[in-house]
Amino acid sequence: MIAALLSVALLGAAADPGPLRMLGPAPRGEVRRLVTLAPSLTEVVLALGAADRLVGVSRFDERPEVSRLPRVGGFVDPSVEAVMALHPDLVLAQPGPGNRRAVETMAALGAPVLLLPLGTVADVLAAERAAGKALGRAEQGESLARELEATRARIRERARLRSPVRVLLVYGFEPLVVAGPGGFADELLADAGAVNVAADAASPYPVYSVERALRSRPEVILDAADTAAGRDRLRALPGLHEARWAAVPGQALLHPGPALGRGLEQLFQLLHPEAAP
Amino acid sequence: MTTVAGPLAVEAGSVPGAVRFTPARATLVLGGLLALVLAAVGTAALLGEYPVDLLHALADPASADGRVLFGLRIPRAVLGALVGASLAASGSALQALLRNPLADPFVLGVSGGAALGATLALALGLQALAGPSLFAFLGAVAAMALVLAAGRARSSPYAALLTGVVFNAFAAAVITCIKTLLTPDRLGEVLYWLAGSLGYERPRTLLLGGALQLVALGVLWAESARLNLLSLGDEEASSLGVPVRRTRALVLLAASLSVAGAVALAGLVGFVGLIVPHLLRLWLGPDQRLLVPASALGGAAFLVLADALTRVLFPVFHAEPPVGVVTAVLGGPLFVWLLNRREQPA
Amino acid sequence: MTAPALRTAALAVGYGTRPVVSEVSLSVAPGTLWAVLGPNGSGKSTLLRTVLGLLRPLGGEVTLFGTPLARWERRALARRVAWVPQAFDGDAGFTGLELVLMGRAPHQGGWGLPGPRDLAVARAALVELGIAHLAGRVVSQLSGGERRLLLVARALAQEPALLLLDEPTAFLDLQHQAQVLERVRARVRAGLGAIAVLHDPNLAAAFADSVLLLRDGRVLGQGPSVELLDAERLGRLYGLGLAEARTEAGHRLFAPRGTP
Repeated sequence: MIAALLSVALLGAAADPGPLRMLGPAPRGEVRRLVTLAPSLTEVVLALGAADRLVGVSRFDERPEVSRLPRVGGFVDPSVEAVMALHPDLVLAQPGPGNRRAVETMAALGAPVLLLPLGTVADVLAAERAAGKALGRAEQGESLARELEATRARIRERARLRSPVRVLLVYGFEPLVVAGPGGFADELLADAGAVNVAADAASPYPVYSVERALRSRPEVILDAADTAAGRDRLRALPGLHEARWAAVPGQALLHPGPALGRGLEQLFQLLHPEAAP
Repeated sequence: MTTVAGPLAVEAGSVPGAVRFTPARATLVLGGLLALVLAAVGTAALLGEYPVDLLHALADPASADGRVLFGLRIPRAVLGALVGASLAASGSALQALLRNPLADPFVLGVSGGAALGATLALALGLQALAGPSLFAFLGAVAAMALVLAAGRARSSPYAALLTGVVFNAFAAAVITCIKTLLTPDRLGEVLYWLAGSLGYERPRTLLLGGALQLVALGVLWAESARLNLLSLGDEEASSLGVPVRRTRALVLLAASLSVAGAVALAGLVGFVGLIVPHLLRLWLGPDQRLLVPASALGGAAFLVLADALTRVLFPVFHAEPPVGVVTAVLGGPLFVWLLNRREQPA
Repeated sequence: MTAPALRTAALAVGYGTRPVVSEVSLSVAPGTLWAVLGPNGSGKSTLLRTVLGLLRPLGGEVTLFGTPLARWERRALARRVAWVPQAFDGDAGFTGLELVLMGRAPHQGGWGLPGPRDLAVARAALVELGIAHLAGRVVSQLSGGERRLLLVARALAQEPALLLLDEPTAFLDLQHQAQVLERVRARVRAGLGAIAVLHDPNLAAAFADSVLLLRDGRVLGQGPSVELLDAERLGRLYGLGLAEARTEAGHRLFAPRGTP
């Protein structure tokens, strides 16, 4: 629903996410009590094998591994008290204007906060490394990052052998929200040999003009929307009708995090179904 | 038949019960309401997700308990008291000035200006310069200047009101337009700000806000006797020696500044400015000399308690609902009940 | 010789730019009661409003107690001139006594806290008009006539030297009509100047010293009521045939001709 769409969009950082940095006091000793304020960050923690350290997550987290953990709030409204009540050794947060005051308050009250933007692939790599280091699992963080970099290199190689494909990646139909320039989705599309027809949009998650989408005549339309509402109407339009419509399987391509590598491979398969897997 | 006091057979020198504003009664009522505010703040200090050991916090303010109490709970309660006082007292004064029981503090367009300022700031990503509060205040002041200028141009009291209503509609339209143009991530921030909530402000902000409210509400209270006369009508007030245009301008200015300060810090918290003055009027009568300060205190207590309730509701939603939702849910049925009770035959 | 309470010279009054009535030259001495008569829309209320300073004169001059209207400070004027408006328009949540006490505002400080003298004057005004029992009643529960009496009481509580009454007898029963005008008359005898807009020429005949007759934007006549009030002139004023009679006491009565 809309919540899922918002969460997809919100998980990508805003146009000005702010740098990766530490707020508040440095963590003392080992981090045993960890709080994350976004599902993408939870993914990173799980991939680092540090799930046992988690004591609190956001209310948007849906992974079964954290289903029993207390919820501390949302993206723009994390509850400072709820976080502090868990006595965290470290808080992981995606920086954004909405939660800035709350996060600063937590830091002022003595909680170490690590701000991890997740807008681009480079952000994701840096986040994996920094989170790994902060949790004392630097090796795992480094290996996650290397794995993603290797996957990207491999896919880019394979894509070079093929002709570019004009692609439109759609997150929602009503209104039409697509992958625009500047975010990790755009970068992965480029890795996979796609030309993002929405590269002229103003932001990574723009509400795109339907007519402009028609004019751009994509060859492939990747459907990452979670509801079918509006899809058939759009599909019937000239310019979109002739394209090959492919549904994006799963969430791997949509969340900035360790699963991006798998998402990239799925993406390549979708764009080049004739290629051997 | 509701008789407020017995017949007029009283001794010379004592004030008959038919006169409801006396220093004695005012002291009693306002003292009682002040106690209510303190009780509300005390209650708010005890409620929240973090289990605060009150004694430990008071003994050692530097401890974690102490920092939550003095760094989170108390500042938020103080903010709630300031915002609640502002909205309720301004609402009362405006209801008298505009001679309209449905007037609320947002009717002057100040809220539209504040919302527009904050929305523009969030949409354009201006937070690097200053928080949305500053832009909200600037927007509110701009709206206020516009409305006051319109009111001065014509002598009708409705000129200011109409300008305010029109400006609010204009601001709402612009905000809606901005909302459709925003990316979904920015949109969430705007919606959250507009819904109205109490956050954790720095002591300096609270001091500034408190000083503003003290001055603005002080002016309203000082003009309250003239407000009573104004509620009779412009001509009658003038015939009784009230400088009508000056008083109206002063009250509009003070109320607008007060509301601007409140909305800049807390967003659009509805219902308080409408409900609290009405509830108090049912109890105390329409005398603004009593209603303005009583509304300030009543509004403060009401909002502090409503905000504490939002914290209590956190485990249910994993989010604190906007405080304006709670004020509506609390205030509405309460008001209807009270109104029905009064209408019963004696 | 004391200055007249009110003097106008070629006064023109109205809203906007067109005068409703013009060339009004009037002199109201202290201790006299003037009645203003005329058909609806002849500018009677407008005249009172202008004299009080609530409306700008469209021409001519107004002088109150020897000082031009424009030079009067609002509060100072309110201590000398009181106005009983035609309708009660205000917040109906006040009690009768609170309303009457508002008449003391021009004499009080910023908070309007009533002193013993204020209470005494207000109380006396209520008693004088026979409405002491309305002191504790909330205005919203009173009839139009009772509210009207409160307005008169409030004006009296102002302790004015000049009293302007706009249709003071509207909505009042006969007893209260007589009572109000008798009380005003008594005050006038004690030195008050008063101008009352009346719709009933019989009341003017019974209570007023002088009358001002307005019609078609002009003054139809002004002067002592015993001279001016006759069936012919009143007939011209109201545009219908009137008959005149006398009571045993010698008071004149006017009624439309042809009434059974």
